[in-house]
Amino acid sequence: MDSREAILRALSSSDRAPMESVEMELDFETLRFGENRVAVFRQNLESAGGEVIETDDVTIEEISSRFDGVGIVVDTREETPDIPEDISGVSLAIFSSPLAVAENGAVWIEPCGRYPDSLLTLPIALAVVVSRKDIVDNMHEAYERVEIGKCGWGLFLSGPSKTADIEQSLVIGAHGAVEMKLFLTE
Amino acid sequence: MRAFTDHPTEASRFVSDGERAHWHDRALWFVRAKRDRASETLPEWERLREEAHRIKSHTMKHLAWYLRLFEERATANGIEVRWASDALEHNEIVASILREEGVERVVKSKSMLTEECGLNPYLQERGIEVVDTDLGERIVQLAGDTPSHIVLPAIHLKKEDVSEIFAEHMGTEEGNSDPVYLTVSARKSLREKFLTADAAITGVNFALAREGAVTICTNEGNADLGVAVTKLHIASMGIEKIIPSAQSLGVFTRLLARSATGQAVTTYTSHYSAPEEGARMVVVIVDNGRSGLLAGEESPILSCIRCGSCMNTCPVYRRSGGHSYGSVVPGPIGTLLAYSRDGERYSSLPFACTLCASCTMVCPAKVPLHDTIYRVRKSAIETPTYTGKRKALSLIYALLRYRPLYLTAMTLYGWAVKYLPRNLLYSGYNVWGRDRDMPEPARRSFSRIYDDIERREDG
Repeated sequence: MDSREAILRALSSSDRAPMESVEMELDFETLRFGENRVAVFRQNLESAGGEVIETDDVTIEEISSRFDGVGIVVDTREETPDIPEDISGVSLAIFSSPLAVAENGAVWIEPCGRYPDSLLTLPIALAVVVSRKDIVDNMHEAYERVEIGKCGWGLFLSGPSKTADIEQSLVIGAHGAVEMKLFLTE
Repeated sequence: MRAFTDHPTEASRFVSDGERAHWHDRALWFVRAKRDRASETLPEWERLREEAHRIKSHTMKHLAWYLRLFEERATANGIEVRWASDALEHNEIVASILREEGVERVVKSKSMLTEECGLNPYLQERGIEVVDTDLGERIVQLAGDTPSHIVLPAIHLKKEDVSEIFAEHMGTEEGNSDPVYLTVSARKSLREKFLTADAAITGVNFALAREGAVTICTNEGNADLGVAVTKLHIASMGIEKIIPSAQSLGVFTRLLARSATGQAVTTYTSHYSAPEEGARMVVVIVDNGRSGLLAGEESPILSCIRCGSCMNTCPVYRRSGGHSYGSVVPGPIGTLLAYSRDGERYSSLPFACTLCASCTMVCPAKVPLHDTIYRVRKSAIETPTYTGKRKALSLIYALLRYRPLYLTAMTLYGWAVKYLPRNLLYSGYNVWGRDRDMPEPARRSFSRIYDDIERREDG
């Protein structure tokens, strides 16, 4: 008997299909932010180490000008982004996000094969463009909007990478981006 | 496996450095306070905990069915699913996949399951370089140490210790213990490891049955980076990591980081449902004793989402340190996991608990931690380790039941404290007196005073 069979047999008392869907009851009242939604989103992303810039000018030049010492920039919003061979050399990558979450300052990004996954993790700085219309209140709403499985990898990103593993001192820039700026459009 | 005697012995090593133990206690209490503030921002917090409990219980009731569904959907997505009955089989599966792909260097993100299975030494013995990339885990790996907390692996070390470890292994400046400097140095050194690695091994926070996907949560982005720069991703998960769907995941991603560190969410909350083009992704589903828990009274411990909040709040954990538990997962949940695995070896752990219930109050999945610890304590006392204690307790029970005997014993006690020489009174048999003075007997005993008052009132 192989291990798959052995494990499933050991769990055989739990092999019945559920009669009811566990999600049916997930309809409790959640915290709503109403017209404060943008402000709450901003506050949460900032406390996660990100920066929020409200602007409708989101050209590659304008975005790049908001970062210091920018070298190679990749703009993934272009239909066929120009990807350098060595992604480690990219200093700024620009993404557009279809969804942001007010309660925690996270934005949803999925490469979907349009550009390499490593473009989200190797560059020093990330810029994300989101429309204020696409901010939802919480993660329940967020998971209703995204389709997990559509692309191989989907990510909720909340600020630059960070760690507090040395004496609980927060240090921004652990392995991924050291800087993350969010451009909020109308 | 670390040598382990019992919790009091191991803890005495930790508390012998009073200043450090005090720092540890306060650092963790600070994390607990952050958790409180984060939970208070959500009026529906208690409801979320109930939902987490309900979803987990539901999933456990249909675990085999959900595992099959996960396997079917993940396979359809292009993920390979493998099954391992125990730690050794898990390690063999991982090693054989690495061999197939000719892997020499692996970057690993945090996974308590691979710690439980002893994967690192297994692979290293077979000539594969394994680099832990979570900063805390990297620190303990370089030091030849083990994690003392599941979320904050190096919480038992001070920045001066880290500075020393890095100076020795990474050539950083001696005596520079600035956390920013140390973190940046580790980032540089690990970047090289990432860019030359052939495979990434990660844990799994949640496996989504309906979507056939796995969710991995980190703040450092090390799992995401490792997966993105290598052509092989192996994700190891215990059978209990399954939840029904992305819809139910909303409850857990709202609870996890708030409970763990007081953040609203982890910086990276990644959902993997297929390998990147040209890459390979394998999920290894591991039992290693978990299926045996499902039918028993301890089954609620399978609902744990590994946030670490029960450790942060535990007065015993905070003051005795993670290593005093002698198991991969320490603290209240670790006590139960370890005891359910090996009741003889870990018989002292159920006693490393004040039954204050703080863990149960903060647990995001409402695992009845202290109740279960209390229950297993009753079986722990039956182990041979506690034969002496059991006999002593039955003697005391007899004394307390029989009043004349009790009164005589108390008189003798008063006499002993007053007249016995100190070295005799505090001999090896006196366990209570090892770390504290015996209580000073009152000049007149309570029962004497009581009898006097009664006599006076009668008269």
